[in-house]
Amino acid sequence: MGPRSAVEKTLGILAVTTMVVGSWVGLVVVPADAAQGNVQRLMYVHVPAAWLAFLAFFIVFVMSVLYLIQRDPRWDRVGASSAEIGVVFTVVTLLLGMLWGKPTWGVYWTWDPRLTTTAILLAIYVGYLALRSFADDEEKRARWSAIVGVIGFVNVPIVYMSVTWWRTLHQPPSSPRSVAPDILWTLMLNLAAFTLVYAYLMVRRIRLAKLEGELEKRMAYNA
Amino acid sequence: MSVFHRAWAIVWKDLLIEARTKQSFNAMVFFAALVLFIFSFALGPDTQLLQRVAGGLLWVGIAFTGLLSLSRTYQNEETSGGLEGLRAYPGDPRAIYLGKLLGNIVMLLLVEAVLFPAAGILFQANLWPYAGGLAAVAILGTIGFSMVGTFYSALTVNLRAREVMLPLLLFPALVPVLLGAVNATTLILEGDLMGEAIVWLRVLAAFDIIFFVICIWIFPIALEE
Amino acid sequence: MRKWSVISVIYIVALILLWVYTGRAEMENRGFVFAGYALTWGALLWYAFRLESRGRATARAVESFEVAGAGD
Repeated sequence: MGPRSAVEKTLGILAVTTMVVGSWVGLVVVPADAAQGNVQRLMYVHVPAAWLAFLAFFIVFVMSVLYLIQRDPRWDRVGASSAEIGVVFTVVTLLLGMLWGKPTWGVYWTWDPRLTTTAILLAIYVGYLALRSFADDEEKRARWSAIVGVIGFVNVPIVYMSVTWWRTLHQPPSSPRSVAPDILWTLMLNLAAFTLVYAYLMVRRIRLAKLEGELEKRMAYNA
Repeated sequence: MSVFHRAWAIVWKDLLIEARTKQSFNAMVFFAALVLFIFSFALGPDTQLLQRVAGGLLWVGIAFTGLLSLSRTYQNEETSGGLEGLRAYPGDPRAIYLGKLLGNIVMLLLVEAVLFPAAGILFQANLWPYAGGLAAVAILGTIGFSMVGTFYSALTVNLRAREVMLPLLLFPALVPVLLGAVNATTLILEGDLMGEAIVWLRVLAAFDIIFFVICIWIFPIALEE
Repeated sequence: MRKWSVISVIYIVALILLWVYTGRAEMENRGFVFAGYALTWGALLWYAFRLESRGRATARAVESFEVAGAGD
């Protein structure tokens, strides 16, 4: 893809450094949680991954709306890039949730509202990416996937509420515990690390999207 | 002609073709009945168990049957090139959406009118006392299902892999409808002692209203050249 | 590519260190902690690698058109 720009290099170095520091603090520096023990250390990667997944899909939504209003292919490229990275973060979130769930709840999977909604979120954006892979025309692909990006995101709170009601009609939701300051700042550190990773991957993915657009143009020209 | 006249013209045209050819309806009813049968076989002849899960089985049947009919939504325009054929209709494209939506709702409700009594016989449950509540669930659920379905089948009609893409896009979006419909049906069949079914009917109604606004707003964009 | 071989080696060394560390610290459920962090690092590195290789493949394809286009 050609040499990295200064911004890309800086972002990459920052992302790797903060990830290393974040994981080190989460694994070594912070003492084990009083209630859950060491398994709770998974929180420092699970929660940031989940937040970034949601942020990524929110950006897909914003880009979709912008595209539908302005019809600028740039918004489509940013939206598609964010969707792909969001799917990666969602898969990581779900797998980490299972790994954390097994020792604490005794099962890999439970029909917890957040867990269930995250799985449905994954299905929505896998659909978004599949739709893109099946549409050949650049403009139609952008328009259709932007529509899916809008509908998919608007649906998320409705899905979440309906899954919550589905569960809470049968069992009370677990009460949230107050978070110790140690845990909080470790979490924030890792959140910063994940955000930098997201930013770096976005910059690279958008560059790839531009290149792919260029390739499509040439293929169409030569065809 | 107003939007509603145009929409009505499409409904009338499609239903008339259907009434004369019966291309879809018979197949849909048999397919839905088959789904119920297969689930009954899979779960075994335990009548009490079947009655307990009847709500879920019914709506799985409706969802699959609905999918079948949705993929045929635009078949009358197929010969004129799918979306291109739709664009050829004069006037506001919203009328096309409304017309196709209404057609799908009518078809699916007709199938359900056969399916619910059939389920009552298969699962040995007396549905008559609950007819009012079940009808409300069926109507609200079918509207929600058809609204998103009619929309997404327009989006996928000219796609290479539409048989895969339509359910892939549709089912995640329909989670609130399926949850609402299944839970309301189950609660009503259990006698709805706690008055919880109304919560799910509200979920269905809210979903219907929100998606009606969104689909009507976005459909012209989906249909653009 | 050389860079990615180096990164893979660093990743594997990090996994070994993590395994040894979780053992020394006598963490209960160390398997889950280990698997979680290994998975997170691995998934992000794998995706970054995929982006690079897709980028290279696409760039080559674009260039091949340039060569083909220069002929006529």
